[in-house]
Amino acid sequence: MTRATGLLLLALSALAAVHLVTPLAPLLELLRSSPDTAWLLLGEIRLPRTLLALGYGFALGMTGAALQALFANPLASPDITGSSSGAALGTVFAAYWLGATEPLVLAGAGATGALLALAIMVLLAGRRAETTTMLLAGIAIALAAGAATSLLLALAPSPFAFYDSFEWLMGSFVDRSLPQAAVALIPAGICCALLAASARPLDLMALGEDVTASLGYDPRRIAVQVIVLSSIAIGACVSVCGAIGFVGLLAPYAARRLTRGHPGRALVPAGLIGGILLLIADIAVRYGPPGRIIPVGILTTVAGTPLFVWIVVTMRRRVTS
Amino acid sequence: MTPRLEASALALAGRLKRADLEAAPGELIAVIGPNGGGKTSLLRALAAIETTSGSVSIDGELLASVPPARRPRVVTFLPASRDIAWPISARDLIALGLPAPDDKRVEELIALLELQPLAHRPVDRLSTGERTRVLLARALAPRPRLLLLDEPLSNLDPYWVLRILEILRSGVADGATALVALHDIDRVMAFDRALLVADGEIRADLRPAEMLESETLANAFGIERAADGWKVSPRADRRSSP
Repeated sequence: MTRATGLLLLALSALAAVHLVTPLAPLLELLRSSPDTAWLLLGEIRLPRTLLALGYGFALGMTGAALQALFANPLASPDITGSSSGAALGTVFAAYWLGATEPLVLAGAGATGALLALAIMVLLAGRRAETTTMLLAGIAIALAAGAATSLLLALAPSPFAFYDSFEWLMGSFVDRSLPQAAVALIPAGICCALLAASARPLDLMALGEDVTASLGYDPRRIAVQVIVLSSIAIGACVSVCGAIGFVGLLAPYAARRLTRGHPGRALVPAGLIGGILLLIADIAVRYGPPGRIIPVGILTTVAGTPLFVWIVVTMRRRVTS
Repeated sequence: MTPRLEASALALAGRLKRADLEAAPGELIAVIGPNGGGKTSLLRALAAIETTSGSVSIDGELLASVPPARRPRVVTFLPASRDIAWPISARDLIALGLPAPDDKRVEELIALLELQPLAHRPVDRLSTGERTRVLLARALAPRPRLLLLDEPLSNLDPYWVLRILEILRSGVADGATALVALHDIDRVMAFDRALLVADGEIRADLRPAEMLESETLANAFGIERAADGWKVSPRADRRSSP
C-alpha cells in the first residue's frame, strides 16, 4: 500500500465517522434523554446511510477506473457509458411492471439493465472506440434509457409511480435499511475485490491489447470481466440508491494523478476517492434548507458538471498542443 | 540441440497460411514483404497474441502454457502502433515491461537508448520517434529470449536506425533471438537471415545477400535491380493479399 492510499483510507474512515454522527446535536440530545433510542437511530438509520454513501462511492470510483482503463478513455464511467441509466431502467421495470419487491430481485434487475446498456454501448462504439464515438453512444443509451424509465413510470399500473420513485431516481441514501444496504454492498464489494485483481493487466492495457495478449493475458476475457463485474456492482447499488452521476468519472481522474497516470493501479485509490466524494456530498445535503431533502445525486451532478467541463477542456488542450 | 524458436503448422484463417519456422539462439532475423503481406500476422502468431492453429515453442516449452508472471522473460512483442492512451512517464512505461520492479534495469535502458532528458516526460508528449525508443526499451527491459519487433526502425532518424541495429546485435550476442519486421529492404544486410512474407506465407528464407538477389523478392514487391538501387518493375505482377 502506498502512502497516498494510506492517507486516502484514513480520510475515508474519518469522514465515515463524521457522516455517522452528523448532525451531532440531536444525537447528543437523544443520548442524554433516551440512550437506547440513540443507539437504535445510529445502528438502524444512520449506519446504513453511511455504509451506502461509502460503499456506493467506492464502487463508482473503482468501476469508473476499471472502465476507463479497459476502454483507454478518461471519460468512460458508469454514467457516461449509460450503464447507470440502464440499471435504473431495469430496476423500474422489475419494480413497477413485474411487481418485484424482493431487494435481491431488484438488484438483479438493476445489474441486468446495466449489463445490457454496456453491451449495447460496446456493440455501437467498439471496444477501443475514439473518445467521441464512445461519448455519443453512451449519451444515446443514457437518453434512451432515461426516456424509457420515464415512460414505464408514466404508464405504470400504480398512478403514484412517478411520485414514489422521484427521490430514488435522483439518487439518495435516506431511510435505507441495513438489509437494503447489504443487498447493494455485498455484491458490489465482491465485484470490487475481483476487479482489483485485474490491476496489472489493466495497467498493461495502456500498451495496447496486443502487448497485453503477448504477455499472457487474454484482453477479451479481461473486457468481459470488467464489464460484467462493473454492471453487477453498479446495478446492485442503483437498485437501492438510484443513479448517481459524475463520481465514477471524477474519482478515477483524481486517482490517476496519484498513480502517475497508471490506469490499473488507480483502481483502489479511485474507489477510496469515490467513497470520500459521496460521503462529503451526503454530509453537505444535510445542511440544505430545513424541512427539505436534496437528493445527493442532484448535488453530485451540480458540483460535477463544472469539473467535467474542465476535464474536457484540458483534454482538448492536450490533443491540440 | 533444441532450437530457440520452433513454430509448426502455424496458421491464422485468411491471413497466414500454414507456416513452419525454426530459429537458433543468437539469430537476428529480418522479416520483409509487401504491405498487407502478413509480416505482422506472422509476428502476432509467434507471440501467441491470437489463438492460432499450430504451436509455438521457445526452448522446447510451449509458449501458450507460459504464465504471465514468466512471459516477459520468454518473449516480448513491439507492435507497429506507437499509441499510448495515458500520460505515463517514459521511465514508468519502461518499468511496465518488467515482471517485477527493478530500478537499476530501467536506468540501464534509459542510458542505452539515451532517454535521460525525456525520462520524466509523459509518453503522449513525445514525438513518434522518441516514443519508438521508449517502447523498444520496454520490450528489451526483461531480457526476453525471443524479441518480436514490428517495424522498430520506422520513424527513426539515421543515427537511431544504426544505433538500434547495434543494440539488437549486442542483444543477440547475449543469446537472445530477434525477428524484426522491416520496410527498408536494404537494411536486411545487417541481419543474419531474411524471411520474405507475402500473400500470407513465408515465400523465402535466405541469407540477406541471397535474398536481395532473389527473383522471389523482386516479384513479391514488383521491383527490380537498377544501376543505382531499385526501380519499379515494368512487368510487375504484384499481387496483394486479399
